Amino acid sequence: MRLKLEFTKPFSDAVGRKVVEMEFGGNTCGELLERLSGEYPALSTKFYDEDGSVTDYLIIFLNDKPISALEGLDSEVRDGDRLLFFFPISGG
Amino acid sequence: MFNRKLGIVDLSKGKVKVSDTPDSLRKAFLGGRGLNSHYLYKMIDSGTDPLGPKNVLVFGTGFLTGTLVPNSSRFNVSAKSPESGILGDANCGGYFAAELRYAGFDRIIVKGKANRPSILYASDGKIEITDAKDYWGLDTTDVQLALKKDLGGVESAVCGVAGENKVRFACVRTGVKNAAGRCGLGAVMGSKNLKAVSAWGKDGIDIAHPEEMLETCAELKDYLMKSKITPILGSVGTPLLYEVSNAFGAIRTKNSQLNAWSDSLNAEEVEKYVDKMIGCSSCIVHCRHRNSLGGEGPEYTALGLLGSNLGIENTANVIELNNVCNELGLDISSSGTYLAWAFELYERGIIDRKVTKDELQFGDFELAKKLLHDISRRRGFGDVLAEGSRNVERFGPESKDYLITVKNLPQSDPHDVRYMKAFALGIATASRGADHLRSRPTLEIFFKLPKEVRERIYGKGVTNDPTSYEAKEKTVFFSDNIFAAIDCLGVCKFICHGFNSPHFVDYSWMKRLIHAASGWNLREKDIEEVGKRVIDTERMFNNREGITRKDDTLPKRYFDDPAPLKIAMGHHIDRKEFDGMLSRYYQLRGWTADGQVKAARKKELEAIA
Repeated sequence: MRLKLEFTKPFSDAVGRKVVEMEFGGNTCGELLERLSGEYPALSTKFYDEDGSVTDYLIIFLNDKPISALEGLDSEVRDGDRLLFFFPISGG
Repeated sequence: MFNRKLGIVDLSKGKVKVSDTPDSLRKAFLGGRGLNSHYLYKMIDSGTDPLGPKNVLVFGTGFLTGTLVPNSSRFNVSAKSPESGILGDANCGGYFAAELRYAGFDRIIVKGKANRPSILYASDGKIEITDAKDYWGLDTTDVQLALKKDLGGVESAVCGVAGENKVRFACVRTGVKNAAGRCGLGAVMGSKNLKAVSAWGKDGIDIAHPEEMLETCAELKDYLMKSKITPILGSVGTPLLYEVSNAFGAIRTKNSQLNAWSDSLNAEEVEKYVDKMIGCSSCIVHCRHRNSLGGEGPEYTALGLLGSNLGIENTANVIELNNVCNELGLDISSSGTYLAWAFELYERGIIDRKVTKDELQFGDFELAKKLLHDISRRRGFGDVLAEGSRNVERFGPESKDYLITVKNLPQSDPHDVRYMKAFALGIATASRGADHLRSRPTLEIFFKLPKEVRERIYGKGVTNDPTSYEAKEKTVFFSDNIFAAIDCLGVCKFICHGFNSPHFVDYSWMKRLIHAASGWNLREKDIEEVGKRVIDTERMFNNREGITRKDDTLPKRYFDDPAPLKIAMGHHIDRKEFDGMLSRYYQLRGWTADGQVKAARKKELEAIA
């Protein structure tokens, strides 16, 4: 399946660009994180804490919903899906 | 002494009275925003002209301001707002508040009107009223530099030319960028012929348990620095938010006709103009930019409201508009909102050159800059715009449909709220009008906030779907309360639990810090009650000015025009769902179905003295 991924800072720094279109053979968001960490090693420290768990400091939107409102890392991705990765921050 | 004095200045009579704040009042409201709001309720009669001598202007430091506590730089400026006609209140950082405490004062209340331009100078437990004729007409940084030179190292809170000319959205400034920005409090200074409040002090603050304070602050600093949010804010600052909101389709663009704009205002573009990052007193975050164009900023708010909202793409142009607003003493949120409103009204033919003189159009940087100067000096169409939301009467009822305000206050941040329903309720119910800093409920969509943690914070039933209305009133209720409490303590919201992270200063940290500073043994619940008391007191002030349920609403566009772009595309606020959420919010607050504080609660709060 083909996915369109959009990264904002600091994830875009690790990837080297903001938008990536990729072929993906997996099924879930968790698998996608693993694939991306392999492909972009600098992403690994942004996605995972030292104990190997996925960091609190990452929000992923799958189309128009955060995966936290779906099935979390088990949320299934489908052909044509768009994902947005951003850092949770507030301010004014 | 840990407690400092209350100075009451009557500018009409040229008299200063110095007294103590009773512990009963301090225990009820702690300080900062809470005590300010209490004094406004007690001292201002309903119907008072905000620009008349009977308005009361309060500069109040927080309970912990000026101590070792991280980010305890804050103070609140409060008065009846000349912009909205209801409660006016703005929170501000910088170095002034700590200096005011070192000069011997927790709070200064200003009444009356001076018969000539004046300055208040607080030092060594005394306040002098001095002549300001040499300072009147100076921009905000120039006047502070002149005061430093003439009075010796003072920190000052000042109004700019906009405040002198009673522009209804003039701000109070300290330092190069820090602003008590909202609600037109700079105009209240101008209306009282008050150019500046300056402070210089040499007295430290006596702490009840110094060793406990040292240990608690060291532990808290380590805790805060472990968060990944702290270094990001310290390296990029709030401009990071622009990129997120833009990618999302949640950035106010061209008066919210659109919801996404150019990447040219992303943080990495702003960084090209950053000389260094700096902080306020006792700050460990350092989120402020010193820019290479002669000012500080821009924040996310300036990027959105002076950039995308005006249809301006050029980064340097937006930073220049930010610096112009700061020097003239204009609130950036209101300035960007009113200009965009006028541009759209002109495009739609609702106003024309008979009113505007110039042709108005989005994207015209030189026009925007000229209008900001004209507003501050009340020249030409600038004199019209200086009246803010009141122009609905002049421009006609149709113009109101395009005005992004709540209770006559423009929305503070550039966040298009059509997608996030809790956020929408927050700006609809905020006590000073459309404002994100009263509640900003976003934590519930935090990636890995497990259900049990979410329920512990907010109560049951809150989903982490931003588009759901279900139980979202609980997130606003929780956030309102804790942000009111931290505003009373004088600590920056950037390190408050719930604003950016669940791992920041919560009631348990507040309890420890209050004990170390004062020796008081408050329970966490007591501190939460302070926040609730503040919200109710502010609502009582607003109820008395005629605010009811009908005013807790949103700009028409957020209800009726679905967002056109990106992830937020198609989303809008459903009126019926919004109404249900509002009713449930009132129930949590214990207010009547019409949004009134109930009589028994009113009597209880009025008895506090």
